[in-house]
Parts: sequence; structure tokens; C-alpha cells
Amino acid sequence: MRLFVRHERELRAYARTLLPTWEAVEDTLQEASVVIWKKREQLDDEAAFLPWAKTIVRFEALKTRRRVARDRLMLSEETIARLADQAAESPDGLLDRERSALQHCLQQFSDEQRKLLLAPYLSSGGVRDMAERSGRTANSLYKLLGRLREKLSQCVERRLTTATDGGMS
Amino acid sequence: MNSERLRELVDRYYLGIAPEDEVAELDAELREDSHARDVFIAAARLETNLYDEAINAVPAMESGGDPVARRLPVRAIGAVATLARSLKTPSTVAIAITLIALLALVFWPQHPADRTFVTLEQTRAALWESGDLPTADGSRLERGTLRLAEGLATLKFDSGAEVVLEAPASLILTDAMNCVLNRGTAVSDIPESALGFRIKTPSADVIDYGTRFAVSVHEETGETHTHVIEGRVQVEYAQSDEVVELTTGQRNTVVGDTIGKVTDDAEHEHKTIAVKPLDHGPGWTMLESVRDAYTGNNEDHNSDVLLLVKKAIQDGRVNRIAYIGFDLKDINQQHIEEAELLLYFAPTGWGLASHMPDATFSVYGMIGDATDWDESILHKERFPAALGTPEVVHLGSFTIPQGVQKGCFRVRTEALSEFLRTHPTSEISLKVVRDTVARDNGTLVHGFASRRHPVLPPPTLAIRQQAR
Repeated sequence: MRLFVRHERELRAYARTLLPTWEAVEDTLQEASVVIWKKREQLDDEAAFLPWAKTIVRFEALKTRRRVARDRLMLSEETIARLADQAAESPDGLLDRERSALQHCLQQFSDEQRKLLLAPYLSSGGVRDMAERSGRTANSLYKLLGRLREKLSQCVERRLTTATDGGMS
Repeated sequence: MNSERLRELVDRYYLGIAPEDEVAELDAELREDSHARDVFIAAARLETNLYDEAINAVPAMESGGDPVARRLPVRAIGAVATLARSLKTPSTVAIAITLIALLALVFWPQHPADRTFVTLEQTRAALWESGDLPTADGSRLERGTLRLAEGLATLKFDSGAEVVLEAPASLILTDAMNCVLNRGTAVSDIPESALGFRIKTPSADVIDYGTRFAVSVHEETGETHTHVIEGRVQVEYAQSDEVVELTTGQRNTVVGDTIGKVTDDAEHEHKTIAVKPLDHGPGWTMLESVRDAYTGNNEDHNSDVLLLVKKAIQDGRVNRIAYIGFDLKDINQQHIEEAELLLYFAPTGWGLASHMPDATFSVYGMIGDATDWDESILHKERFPAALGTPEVVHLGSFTIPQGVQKGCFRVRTEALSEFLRTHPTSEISLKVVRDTVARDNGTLVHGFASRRHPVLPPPTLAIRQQAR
């Protein structure tokens, strides 16, 4: 479980690629953690943990997908399969480097903007609630959110590029 | 698919707001294009990081930041979901999620000690009407209403947004990113930190995307005029989802049921709002100037929207004198009981205010041949109706205190009423001169709004006629 905890974020990002909602991601990780525990004997090399765990997450994600397929718009199984293959090869440590870039970039936004950027993750109707409280239409708030997210992702990319260049020299 | 469209689809997918056709479009792209998949996978990492930030931000924002509580929402969601499935009672999930939502509310930051989010940075010749907020310069303001009867007030929101309120105006402060303008003009300067700053008016919402812009609201009609000085804003019509975007130089008017078309500076003159002065009740007619100009051309010292007024030396061609024409054809001149001239001053950017003492201005009525002038020739070296000749009648004076360059200044005298009553034609010509000479060269150039000014009201004649 120590390994699971250490790699939980990587597995969460991987599951997010395959699943349409955070709820589905958390369900899948719960199930996967149980399976990983049960099958822990199969793993003899710690270094192989992440790819092995990703396979389990992928399998559990497929089960979750079938369960939530009725009430969710989802990508096709074929697309998901290709994404799963490609995402399995994500470079180690990238997620954490991006996290620190993100933390830096978030500081460049105002409190209100940060609140809006994080609202989608705090409850499913987070943005809609915020719209109601501020008397805006949800539509316009999503539009604003879209622009903020675009800025944020550009900032993260830029910061990562600069950090990489700096590290090389 | 271009990368912009791809990013948009990916973003909307992760936010859970992409409709069926967009998901299908995204699916096709992801299936075929490995680069698109890279973008999608990178977005999942950003999502994950934002998700973790959100989970951590909840308790971190409350005092202390209990480490057990930090991961509580996510752990609870997962654990409850597992539990619920093992119990085979889906309703438990709903109940648990409600509980978690409540927990999140409890953890959401509240700052009972300090609810302020705006600083009243400075005021100029401000006169306040009853409101529920302090009005001293430097005051920190919370939610409430500001009512500015005269002058200007500069507000700095904690988001970084700066709003200059021009009287007469009424503004409700909502939070650091929102305010409601019910009448008057607000000129806003929005830095990146306040992207999305919103001014609500009775007929529209004006949302800023990094820009300087002016919004004016006519109190009685709720009409909203928006003019983008630089950058980009979005105007949302209050009664539907209709939206227009304005970029530098563009204007828009929302009146009643319609969101007007977008116009460019070059094509149209902006119809300024006839801001109704506070002390003109029913029975008053407001007339805007039909022509105005100033003399004293100085090649690089001109303004298209302000009428410049200056007196540098006792006499000379560098002095500037403003001329204003009104048409009283809809007024029964003999029945004029009272009249007032209103001029809306604004900084010209020329000269030193500190070198200018309190400045007195005089308004003269022009008669005879002197009234024969038009806007196009006045910039040349013509000075119709020289002072001290029988062609001019002194109608009144007003004083602008030292340091003040903005605000509405008025002349309301019996001489003005009498001049209008007895003028032989309906075409009225007035000239405005500055009596005060500055201490030295580099003297301040005063200016007031012409009828071409984008935001400020034009020279206005308020007339009250005898009730019949």
C-alpha cells in the first residue's frame, strides 16, 4: 500500500484519462486499490509497480465505464484503448513537475479567479452554484472559466519549458 | 482540426459541459490523431493537479488547516461510494454526497472580521448623497451602495480593478469582481488579475477581459452604453443569453428590449447619455449642444472630444476659447423662467495643474453677426465676438478650484435666462473663456466635453418653462 500511496496521483491522472468524471475516477481507484492489495504477491519488483498498477486501473476503469455508460456521454472503447496505451507511457515525475508549476501559476490569479478555477472539483454543481451566488449565468461563468483555464495551462507549459531549459544549462 | 478547437473540446469534456455532438467530434479526433491524444492526456494531468489543489485548498483556506481534514472530501467520497455499493443502496451515495457538500461548505473560507474588498482611493470635488458606506478618501468599503451626487471617485477593488465613478452615479459594490451600476458613468481599468470583472446594469452585464472601458447608465430608461477604450469586453443582454463582444474603439447601446449593434469609432459618433442633473425635476427640458468648437489652434495640442479653454497671457492667439451653439426651436423662448448651462470638464493632459490657481471662467452670449460661425472654421484664427465689443453679453461665471480638472460646472443666472428669453432667433451661441491667467508658461489647459465626447455629456442647457 506504501507503493500505492506513493503513486496514487499518477494512477489518478491515468484513470482520469479513461473516465468521464471524478466520481468514476475515485470509485475506480478504490476498487483498484483492493485488487492491488489482493494481488500484491504477483509483484516482485518495486520498479515495475506503476505499469502493473496502471494495468489494474485500466481494467477497473473499463468496469466502471460499463456501469456508468447509461447516464454519461463517453468516448468510445476504441478511443479509450488507444488513450490507455499512450498514457501508460507518460514520463515519470512529469505530473509532479507540472503540479509545482501549477501552484506557482495559480498565485498569478486573484482569489476570486482561483475560487472559480477550483470550483469544478469541489462539488459537481460548483460552477453553477457560484453563478447563482454572483447572479451570473452559468454559461458566462463557464466561458470565463474556459479563458482562465487556457491562461493557466499556457502558464504551466511556459514554466515547465523554462524550468527544463534552466535545468539543462 | 486546429489546435484551438481541440483544446476547447478537451476543456469542455473535462468540465463535463460538452454536449453529445462535441463528445463525438472529440472522440473521432482522438481515435485518429496521436497528437490529439497527447493533448488529451496532458489535460488529464492538469485536471488531476487542479483536483488535488482544490482538495487541499478547502481546509487550507480555513484557519489552521487540519491535516486529517485535508483529504477528507476525497477519501470520504471514495469510501462512501465503496460502502454504498457493498450495501447495494444507491441512495446512500446521494445522502453521503450531500453530507460531503455540507462539509465543504463548512470548510469554505469565511472572514467575519474583515468583509471589505474595495478602497476608496481618492475623490475629486465629490459630493455624496445618502449611502450606507464611508466616503472619506482611503476608506475601506464592504458590500453596499455609493451615491455620488457630484464629482469623481476612484475605487480600487482588491481584485486589481480600478473604477472611476463619474457623478451623478449610483454604484452597488457586490464583491471584488462585481458591482452594479444603476446610473451614471463608470470608467474601468482592468488588469489581468481582474479578468472577468463585471459591471451589471439594469439592462446588461458588461464583462471585462483585460481592458479599459466606459459604461454609462441612464437612470430612467436603464439604457446602457458601453465603449471600449482599449481591449475587449463582452456585453450580455440581461433578459436573454444574447451576447456581443466589443473590441478597442467599439461601442454598443442596450436599450429596453434590444441589444444594439456594435459600432466603430470611425463610423459613428457615440450618442452620449443625457445624464439628468440632480436638481432638474419635471418641467425642465434638457438641450444638448448642436455645434461646438474652440479657437486657438496649436498643431499638436488638439482634442477631438474636448473643448479646450486656456488663457496664457492677456491676449494672444494661443489662448483658447470655446464656442457652443444650442437650438431652441422646440422651446417657447418667451416662457423661459429659468435656465442653467452645464459643462462637464475632464483633464486635457496639457499643462501643470499645480501652476494653476483657482480658475474663474465666464460665459458670454453672442449677438448680431457674431453668431455666424460653424465648427469647421473655428480651429483657424478666427475669434468671433471679441470681448469688450457690443457683440457679447456677460451671462455668468464659475470657478474651478485648484487641482480639480473634472466634474460638472454650471452657470445659472438671471442674465442667462434673460438672454435666452429675449434672443431674436432660436439659434443660441455662447462662448466660454477662462478669466484666470496662470503664473507662467506651461499653464494648464482646461477642457470640457464637446458633443463628440464618447462618455461625458455634451454641453447642456437646462431650461424650465412657465407652466401654461
